[in-house]
Amino acid sequence: MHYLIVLSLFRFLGRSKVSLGMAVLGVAIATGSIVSVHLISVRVGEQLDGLVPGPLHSYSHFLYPADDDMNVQKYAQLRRAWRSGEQPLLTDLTPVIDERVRIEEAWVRVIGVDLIGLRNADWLDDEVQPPDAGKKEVPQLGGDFTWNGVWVDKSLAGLTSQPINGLLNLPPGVLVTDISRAQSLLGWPAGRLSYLAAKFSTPSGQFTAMMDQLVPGFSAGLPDVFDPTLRDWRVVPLDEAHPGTGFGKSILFNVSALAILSLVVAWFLIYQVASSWLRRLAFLFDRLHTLGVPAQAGSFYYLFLLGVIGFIAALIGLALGAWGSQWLLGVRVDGAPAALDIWVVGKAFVCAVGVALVSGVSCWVRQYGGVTHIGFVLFWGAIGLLVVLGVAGTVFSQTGLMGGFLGIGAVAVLGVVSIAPGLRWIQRRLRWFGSDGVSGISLIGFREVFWFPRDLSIALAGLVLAIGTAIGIGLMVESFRYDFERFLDQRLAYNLNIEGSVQGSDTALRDSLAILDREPDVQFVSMYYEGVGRFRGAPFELRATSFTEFELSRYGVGSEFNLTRSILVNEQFARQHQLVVGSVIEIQSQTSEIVGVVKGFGDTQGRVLIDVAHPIMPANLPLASVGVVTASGSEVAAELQQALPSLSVTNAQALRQVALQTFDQTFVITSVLTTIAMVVAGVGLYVGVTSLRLNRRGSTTLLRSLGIKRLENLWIDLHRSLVMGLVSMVFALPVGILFGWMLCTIVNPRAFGWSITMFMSVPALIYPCLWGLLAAILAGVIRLGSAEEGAVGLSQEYAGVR
Amino acid sequence: MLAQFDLQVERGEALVITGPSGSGKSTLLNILAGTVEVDTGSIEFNPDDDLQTWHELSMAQRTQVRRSHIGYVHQFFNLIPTLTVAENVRLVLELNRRRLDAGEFADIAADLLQRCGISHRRDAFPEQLSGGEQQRTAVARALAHRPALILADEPTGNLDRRNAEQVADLLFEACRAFQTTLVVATHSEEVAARADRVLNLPGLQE
Repeated sequence: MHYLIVLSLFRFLGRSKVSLGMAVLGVAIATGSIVSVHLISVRVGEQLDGLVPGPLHSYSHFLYPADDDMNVQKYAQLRRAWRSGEQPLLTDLTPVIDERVRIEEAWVRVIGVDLIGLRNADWLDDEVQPPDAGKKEVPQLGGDFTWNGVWVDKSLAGLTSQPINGLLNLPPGVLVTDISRAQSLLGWPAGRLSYLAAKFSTPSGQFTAMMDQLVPGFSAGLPDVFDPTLRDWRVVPLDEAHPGTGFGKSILFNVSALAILSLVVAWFLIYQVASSWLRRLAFLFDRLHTLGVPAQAGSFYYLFLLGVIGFIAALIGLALGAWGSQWLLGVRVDGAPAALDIWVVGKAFVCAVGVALVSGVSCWVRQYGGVTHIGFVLFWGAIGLLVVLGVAGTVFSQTGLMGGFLGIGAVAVLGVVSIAPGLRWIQRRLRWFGSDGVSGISLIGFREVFWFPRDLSIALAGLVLAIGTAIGIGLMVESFRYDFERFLDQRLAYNLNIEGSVQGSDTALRDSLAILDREPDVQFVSMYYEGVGRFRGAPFELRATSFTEFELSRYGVGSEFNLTRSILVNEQFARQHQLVVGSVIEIQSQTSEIVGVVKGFGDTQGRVLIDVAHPIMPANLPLASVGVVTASGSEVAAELQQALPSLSVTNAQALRQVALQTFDQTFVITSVLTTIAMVVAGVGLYVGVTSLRLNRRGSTTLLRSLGIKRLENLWIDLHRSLVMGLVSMVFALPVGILFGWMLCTIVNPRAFGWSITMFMSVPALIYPCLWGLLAAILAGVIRLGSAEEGAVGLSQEYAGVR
Repeated sequence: MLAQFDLQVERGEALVITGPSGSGKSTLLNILAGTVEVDTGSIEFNPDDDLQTWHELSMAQRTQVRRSHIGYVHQFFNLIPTLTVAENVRLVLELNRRRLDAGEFADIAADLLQRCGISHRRDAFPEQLSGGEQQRTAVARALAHRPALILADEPTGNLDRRNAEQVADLLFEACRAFQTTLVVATHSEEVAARADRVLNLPGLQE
């Protein structure tokens, strides 16, 4: 019996080629986008992991003593307390030295760790050993392992004063060694340390670690629910101590959230197909029931059918995703894409089969369960709960990135559920208006959209969501670009920017000053010194220069302040420590007032800007770059380049162009994902229009008997499509503007620490609407198969319904 | 079905086709309307002394002839649900490209609706009408462009006796008033009694 029923279902699929194709295509494209994003994210995630030096990678928090005097005694004291059972969630604790020191004119970040304790750590396997690496003795790791050896990243391979044991995959300028050698390199006494690295293991931490495997970047979206406290210690989470990783993971979280959009839109698509199939199959299931097959078996066979669709779509989606990631990686990210692993294969099948089954269950319940009181309450209760969570997520910044996206989700859901009531509302108002001057054919096309909201609201919901997202992202990108251009105009006030390489840049840059001094056309020279500092345990970039009027104008602040007590900070620093203009803080026992919070697009961590006269300016802070204002930029650049080839001399205009190019490339993946969602929405709308067309077969027959020609029929379709496009625009515009506002003012500050001034860009509003209109028109006028025979895949579904 | 069948209907004649379900009444009407092809034989239509042979015409040409010279009244789905009563009537006039302004369209529609006793519902949508009102509107629409032939498929099949009488009155009066040929497929003996001629189609032979 089962065989015969399954055979009949497959024959049914064989007769429903177009709707089957549409359903598989939509879900496969959506699954493909999720697979692509996952594969790219895995590769980017690996690159982000490389930002944290290997020896620190496995720790979740860093501990600083409240009095900033870290030594071995304090470590021993805490270790004893931990071993005696205090802090049960703490699973590992190790002392660390992490400071910068000048070695052979290069500023080197020295990381001293307990090498014996970390003897078998994974990061030691990350060795990269080019044949010419290390000019001194370079024994291989493993058998020749020395407990007091030195490992460096490849930018420091040329160091000659240290016995380099090997090259490792480390951030540029990092040297890893044992604690005692680190102390001797820094000239520190034997008992002095920088901080302790600790590992806390919590259920929430294990959950987010697992979710990070499934959705790379997931942890960046969650607020810090675990905030351990230790008396007399400041506890700094890994992401705060190494903001680059948090920054990158936030990008991954945003992209993953965007990829989910396609899946949601695909749900709208397959729901319509599932709904139309159920209407056709209901007859078969009723007959089977009459023959003695249990009623619930019908739902099993129906869900089995949809599961098959999901399975096929998952396979195609995996292939599409693997290809898509390769293509996108070629556009944006260096390196080969990650291979398909169990996580991504599982994710593809869960997404595709899940979306198919969920839509099947929804249709079955709607068809046979009816609208029960409990169902009604549950549905609107869930919507209400999401809205409340969304509002809370938007208002309370403690909810993190996840809160921001809950807000966006709530706006999306409100937009979607308002479509059917909105169409009915318009329908009631249309009755008040006359139709003089409008042809009957046009009226039929116009009004059908409002007369049959049930047929079209699901399809329109997909399109509204896709257009709304495109508008929101467009507004965010345009606003960001507008702010970024102003930022570049302000910051690139000089003609030339001179930078050095990691090693030996300081001397070369100082030499360049002598050359610039001789140049008669050079009007102004700014010197920028860079180092690192710590505030409340977290590191920041310290940048020092002379706060001249020219320099301060680059940051858009006035000059009426005390140079030795005033500092500027970037938005990331202000947000991280909850500071505003006027806040007074203490760095290195020196009190300073924040006189300006400046934009820091592209900064991955907090930055403090000081005048060279400020008391916290270290005596040996290296020169990092030089800005030059000159009337003959190209001649000066050529001369500098010839005299000092190790320096990189960049024209400000070229720098501006490169920065904008990088900016535009950054959003390639975003644009591709938005386009995919729009395509899936277009296919969904096509299915919706086909349903409507077949649902209105009675009217079509009547129109044919009245002598309506094909062209006039097409005219009706065109009017209907235009109205669908316009209606989508009407619903998508407020949704999109709200999305844009939330991305600019909620998501970006929480994800990256910078704010964007929302700018109502007309192209960002218009283009998605025009694309949506085009999708609606195509969906409305394209007929696959013969319209006369109704061979559009769903041809028999509504036979006899009306 | 309908084999060896020969039928001629004169201008202004009211022909009623009766017969059991499945005898081909509706099929015959569709053949006359040109929406169903015949396997063999031919259909000739001579409105305004302009002889048309269906099988010699393309689909588009048949559609053009149908819209200009034929009015159709169905049992169900009679009205376009998204158009009001007046707009349903106006649609047929527009399809025939009558060079009339909006006022003239309105006058014709008002006159027809008045005749059909439905003028008080001119701005109502079909879903707001009773079955009788819907069918009277359908008759008004079928008459709007003064067609040479009205085909009515079970026009009273869904109505109570009073409404059925009203609709039949309208159809047969219009037939006489405008010299329109009327072909009605029906089970109703009351309707058949009003016809100039009755054609009884036999059921399928066992």
